[in-house]
Amino acid sequence: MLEVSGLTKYYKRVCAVDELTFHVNPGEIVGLLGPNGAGKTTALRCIAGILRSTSGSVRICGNDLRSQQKLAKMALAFVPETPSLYELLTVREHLRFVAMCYESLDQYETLGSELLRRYDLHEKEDELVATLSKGMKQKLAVVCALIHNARVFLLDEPLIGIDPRGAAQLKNHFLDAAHQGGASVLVSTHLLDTAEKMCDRVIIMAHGRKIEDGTLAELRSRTEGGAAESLEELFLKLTEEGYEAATVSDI
Amino acid sequence: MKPLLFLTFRQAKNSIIRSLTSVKRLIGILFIVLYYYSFIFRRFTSGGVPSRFASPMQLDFPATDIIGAVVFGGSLVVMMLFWLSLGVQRGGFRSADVDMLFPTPVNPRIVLFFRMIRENIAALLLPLLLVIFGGPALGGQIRMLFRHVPNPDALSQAGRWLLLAWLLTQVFWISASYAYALWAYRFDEKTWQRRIAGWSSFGALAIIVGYVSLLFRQPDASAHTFMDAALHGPLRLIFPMASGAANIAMAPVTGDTILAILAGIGLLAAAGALIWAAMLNVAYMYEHAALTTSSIETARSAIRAGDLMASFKIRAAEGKVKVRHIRWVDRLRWQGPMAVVWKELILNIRTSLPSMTVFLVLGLVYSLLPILAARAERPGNDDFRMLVGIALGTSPFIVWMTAWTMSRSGFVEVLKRVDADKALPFSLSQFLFAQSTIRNLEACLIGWLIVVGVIIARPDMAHPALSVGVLLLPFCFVVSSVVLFFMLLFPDIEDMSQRTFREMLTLIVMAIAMVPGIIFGGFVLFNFESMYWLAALVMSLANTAVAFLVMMMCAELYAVHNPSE
Repeated sequence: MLEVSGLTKYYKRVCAVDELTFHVNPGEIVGLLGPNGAGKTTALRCIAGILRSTSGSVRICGNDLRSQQKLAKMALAFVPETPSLYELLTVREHLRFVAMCYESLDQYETLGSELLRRYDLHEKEDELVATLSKGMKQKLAVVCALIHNARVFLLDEPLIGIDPRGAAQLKNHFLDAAHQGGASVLVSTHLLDTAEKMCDRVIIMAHGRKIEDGTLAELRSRTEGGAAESLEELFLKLTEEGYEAATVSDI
Repeated sequence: MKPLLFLTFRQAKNSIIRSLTSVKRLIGILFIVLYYYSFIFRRFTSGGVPSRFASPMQLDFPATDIIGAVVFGGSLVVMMLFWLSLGVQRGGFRSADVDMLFPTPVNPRIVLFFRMIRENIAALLLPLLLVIFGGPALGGQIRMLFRHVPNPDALSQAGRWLLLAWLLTQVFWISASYAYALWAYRFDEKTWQRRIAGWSSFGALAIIVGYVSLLFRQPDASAHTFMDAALHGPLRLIFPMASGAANIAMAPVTGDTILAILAGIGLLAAAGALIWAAMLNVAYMYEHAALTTSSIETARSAIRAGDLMASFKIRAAEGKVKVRHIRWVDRLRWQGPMAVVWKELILNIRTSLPSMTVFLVLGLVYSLLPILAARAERPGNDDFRMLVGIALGTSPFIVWMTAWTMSRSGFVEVLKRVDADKALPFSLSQFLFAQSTIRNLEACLIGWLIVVGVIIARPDMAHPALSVGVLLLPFCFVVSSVVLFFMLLFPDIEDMSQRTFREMLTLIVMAIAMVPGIIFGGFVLFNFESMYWLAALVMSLANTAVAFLVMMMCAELYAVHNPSE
């Protein structure tokens, strides 16, 4: 459903993403992990059509992001890390605006109130976004991603700033969307325990490159880790930072 | 297009409602409205500026030629203004557009087209403002000039044609700026294209200036030379966009509508080609915006807030700042509130050198010029006293300007960084004093250097000069404490209406806060005529007391200040 092939992104001479190739199947939740500066956000922004990749292709539900941009984006929802919202719209207007962009006003009318209620935003629906707390803004960004019939979800650190109840709802929502609704979810996160519980498969990036791609069991077998080895331990083994941290702790 | 219209109108509506429901914003807006209303109202009710040409003018040239030359000159000026801004990146996108609009399936071409229309509508406001502010003043002269043209009724049509010329010019240039920006600002390609705007505008300006200079250098140069050059000179060929606009605007006067229509078609066709070129590169628009919006927003909000450190912060974020350690600062082992002074010392050494240099040069020039003039005067002479007064008065004036500017810039950070600063283990008043100390010392340093300059240039003026030097630091503390007081009282630093109102109140209260010092100092001077040092000392004590009082009030306000409210 989401196919990324040879995605490369240069900023002048700096290679932020290097020949990234992966796919996310329908009904699958894939975690995109990596240390800071690994290129995860740049990769997600290229897939979302915000940044223009230097080379490579992105296909969403079979539609090429460049040549069939509208069809590709119609099937996509993106939740950015610490999203910037339109502060001078009310919560409801914001949701409506996003629904209008995705030509799904009908869905907004039937689903909008329900989503706002589910994420505890219904009491704030007539207030300006500027008055919301950081966590509420994050929730609103999530609600905006859910207002149309997206088949592919790109989530960049979606749990940052959200309260435990909201975080649990969000996780369940995307688990349902993937496992029952058949959506593809690509989630970038530093919360490795969450990724371990939520994701069917993980992709680990470092220095713009994919260094691992597989289920937890596959990663364990590749790193010769025991069955009890957590994702955190595997991650630390697989990334440079991990080796440095391990060295420091040994000392 | 519908979502974009919805977004624009709802935001505008909510912005107005928000302004009307907040008392502080409302006061600011009322202040601005009253100010401009009284300005415009006075203009209109006074019937404008009386014309100097009550009777028919004696003209050295045919009126048609005068109007034609003025219109072409105006077209050149407008052209150069647009051209010079060609290289300025189109910074109208916001972070919310990047995060919420760009990932949606709204066609980027529609987004681009919508933005062009919005900018064109905004640019149309300029002639409206000119009509409002300049119309009454120039109306008499223009009417009188039109009496001399072959077709005096042309005046009734002139406004419309002029507006059409302006509209086509702005459509051309706004299209050009988008076409250029989307072609030149591609982040993963070489950047030589970005220099084209700068060099071409410089070239155009050089051609105009060079040509006018050549005309001046002609031995028989007269008004005829310039008139002829404006009407038939090579500039009309070199800059067809300016001459085209001039031809359109002149159509009712010359009656040459065919030429005007051709010029209009030419400008429109060129604009169409530029829009097409912009659309070809629209794929780069989102990327360009995504990578620049953050720094542009930072710069914009910093300008609104009067934050001098902003340019430094932006360069730092782009990795363009090399940190240099200063040994003597590193060796300081200040603790408690002095740690804040130490931190401010480092920040100010890094950031405020350019503004300090400007203020210092200004101060030295303005104080030393009268001093040099006073060298020929004898002490005791009235002219001498006046020149000395001007020279020594410059120092507090420059210090006042520096202290005000630097305080405003520094306290912007204080307003934002509440969470980190309020948690520090000392009283809020101590923190605020510490926060303002370095900036006040910096401002004083400029003043003291001026004082030293004055003493070197005129040693016999050392007594009054040193007295001024004594005054400066308490004076700065009064300025900074009043600035902080009003920033805390009207803390929405980016709101234009609050800012204007706050600045005005700050100015008034600064003047009031100086009154006790002036009274006490004046009393001393009145009774002990030449004891400047004593007057300065008394004034300083009074100013210190006032600054202390205001800073205590600031601490109370700061205690309840919450930037998220």
